[in-house]
Amino acid sequence: MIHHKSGGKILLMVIAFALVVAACGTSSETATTTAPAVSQTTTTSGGNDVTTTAAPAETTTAPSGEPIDVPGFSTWEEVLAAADGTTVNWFMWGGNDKLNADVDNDIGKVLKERYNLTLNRVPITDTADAVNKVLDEAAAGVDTNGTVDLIWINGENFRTLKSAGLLYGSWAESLPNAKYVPWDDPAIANDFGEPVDGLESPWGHAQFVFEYDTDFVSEAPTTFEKLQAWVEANPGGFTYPAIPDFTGSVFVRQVFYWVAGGPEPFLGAFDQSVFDQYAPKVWEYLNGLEPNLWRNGETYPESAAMQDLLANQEIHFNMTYNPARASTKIADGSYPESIRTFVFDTGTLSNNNYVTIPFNAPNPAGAMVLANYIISPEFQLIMADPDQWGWLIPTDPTTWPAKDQEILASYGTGIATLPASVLTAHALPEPAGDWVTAMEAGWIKNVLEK
Amino acid sequence: MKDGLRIPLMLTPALGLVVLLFGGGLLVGFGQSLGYFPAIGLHDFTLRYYFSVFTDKNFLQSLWLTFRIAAVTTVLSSVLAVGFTLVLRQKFAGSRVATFLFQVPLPVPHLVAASGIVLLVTQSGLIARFLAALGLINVPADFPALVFDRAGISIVLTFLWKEVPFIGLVVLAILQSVGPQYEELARTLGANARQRFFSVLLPLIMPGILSTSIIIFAFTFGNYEIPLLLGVRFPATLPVVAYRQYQDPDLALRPEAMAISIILAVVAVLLLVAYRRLARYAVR
Repeated sequence: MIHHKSGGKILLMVIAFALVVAACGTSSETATTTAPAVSQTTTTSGGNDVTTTAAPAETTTAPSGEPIDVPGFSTWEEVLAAADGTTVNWFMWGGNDKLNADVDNDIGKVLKERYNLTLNRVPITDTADAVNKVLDEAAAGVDTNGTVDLIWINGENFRTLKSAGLLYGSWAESLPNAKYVPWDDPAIANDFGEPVDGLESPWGHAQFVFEYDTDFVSEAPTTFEKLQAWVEANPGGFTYPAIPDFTGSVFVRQVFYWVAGGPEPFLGAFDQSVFDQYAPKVWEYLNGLEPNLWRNGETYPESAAMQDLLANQEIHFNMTYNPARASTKIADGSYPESIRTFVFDTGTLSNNNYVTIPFNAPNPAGAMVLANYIISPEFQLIMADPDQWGWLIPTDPTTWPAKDQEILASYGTGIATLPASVLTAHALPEPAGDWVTAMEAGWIKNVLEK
Repeated sequence: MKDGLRIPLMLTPALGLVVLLFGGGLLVGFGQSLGYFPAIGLHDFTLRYYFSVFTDKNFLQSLWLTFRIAAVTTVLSSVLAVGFTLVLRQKFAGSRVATFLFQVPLPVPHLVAASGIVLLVTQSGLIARFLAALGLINVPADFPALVFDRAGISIVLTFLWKEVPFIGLVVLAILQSVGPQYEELARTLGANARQRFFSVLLPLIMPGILSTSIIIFAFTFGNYEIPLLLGVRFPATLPVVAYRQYQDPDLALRPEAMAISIILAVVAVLLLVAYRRLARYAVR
């Protein structure tokens, strides 16, 4: 009983304490009320700080090198000098052990040896984690010296940061290696319909393909009609990842393209009447598949789980944005030899991966050095090599030095990988961002929750 | 008087940390749930996010699922734990080994437990393959779907595996400290086994069961990783729903995510208060 009394006292103290904290909390919150406006200006003023410290060197030693148009730096040499001896925090999806090791070996080691720049790869499960970090820092008034230098980002999250004014500024087209990037190509200059405006730099190219197990599927169903027939004849063998998984989302986009007879209706600004015209047919098709999906469509897996389901031969199809993944996984033994890939006759979506620098990056110079290295022909050759990364590349090889072009031409194609010519011939553009949001929300409401 | 001040003072560093870090986060979350989110230009306090959450039938469905999983886990793990401890307190050949094995799940992280359950009981898991190899089922996929199921069977299984030893440990400690004399006394007074259990043992261990099951209820109600790994995509438990909303690139959904989190916290606190009252009543 005595305990109860002192318990009450402590409770009172806690409440008093909480009130004090609450008071402090609200006052600091009001201080950050103006944060969005401030953050815009600090982006440039923070950059100016660097310029002023570097400026005397410029006037006295007259640096060599072309001037570049990047916030805070006037020549590439300044960027290199600022990056020397620093650490760059790269927030990237960390769900693949091989990719993590490849990044450390093929990027981290080179940056250390060549630029004395240490790569700190920060693994995250979702790009939104990094975006939330930047957002929370902005809310807390951390306008300089945040924690994130570079983010491997996707279109939706890029748009979020761009519209909130939380990006470092226009830098990507000023990188020395930007000359290898086809900036005139609308597929590069726009990320899911959102103009890139030099705020992010490409680092990989992706195209959607299906993986299938030839032990169970004798002929690849390359049209939506054939796929439907196969699913009905083989209940339980097919499924697709649940949205918001980006792989599940692209499958649904693909159905929209098929229903509408092509990507054209979805490339411009969002139009509700156009959406309403096609959406019911999409839901009808997908709900028609549902009873015969894996687990009778009672649930939809995550895409990471789908790889295991395919490898375990519990399902016989999988889908991915990496056309060479099946070959890589057969080579390392995690897929059966019988896996092959195919694309739909009506084409498949392709897009680019980007990296971006947030407004309060503590080391923008290091981030730019990294972003510049990964679009160099030297690294792009590692990325394109089916025996190394086996990725599609975002740079234009015809602009590379002749000897690098020769190396690229000498590469073979992985056992389960479609020839580049087939992929290119079937590539379709991504819809604009608002369309994706509407399609995803529509799927959740009309298919998942139905 | 001196003691009266000394104890709170000694507690201040720990309490301060809790209040500052946890309370601070809670406050910011509460603000966002009311639509105060300056970083994206929201400055007006409103209750409409709570309103839209409560009028959403998917939310109510998730709330019910979350509550059901927590309640079933709490009741089942308490009953099982008492059953196990009654056996384990006896001396038998290998009782020490059995007690050790019983406590093995305690230090295993919940994530690892969930992964183990997946490897073991999915339709392409170890058990399914074993049964198929023995010819008891045709193909592994014939094994009943216990993981990614709408009822949350695998979620409850994982929680049970982790929490039964937790309650068991506490109950076993009480039983050992109490010793057998009360029961022997009751026996000499002519009480049968059933009477000895309900009138002597149960009242002795009840406080331990109640305090641990309160912890377990609160924990399972707010647990995120196990329902995420083992649950179906829809309906999902509230912590999973809140986190998905929080992760959405559409920042306009953030206040709703925070509203769900706050409701989650409030519901948990209310249930615990009610439960404590019940518990005090039961102990008397």
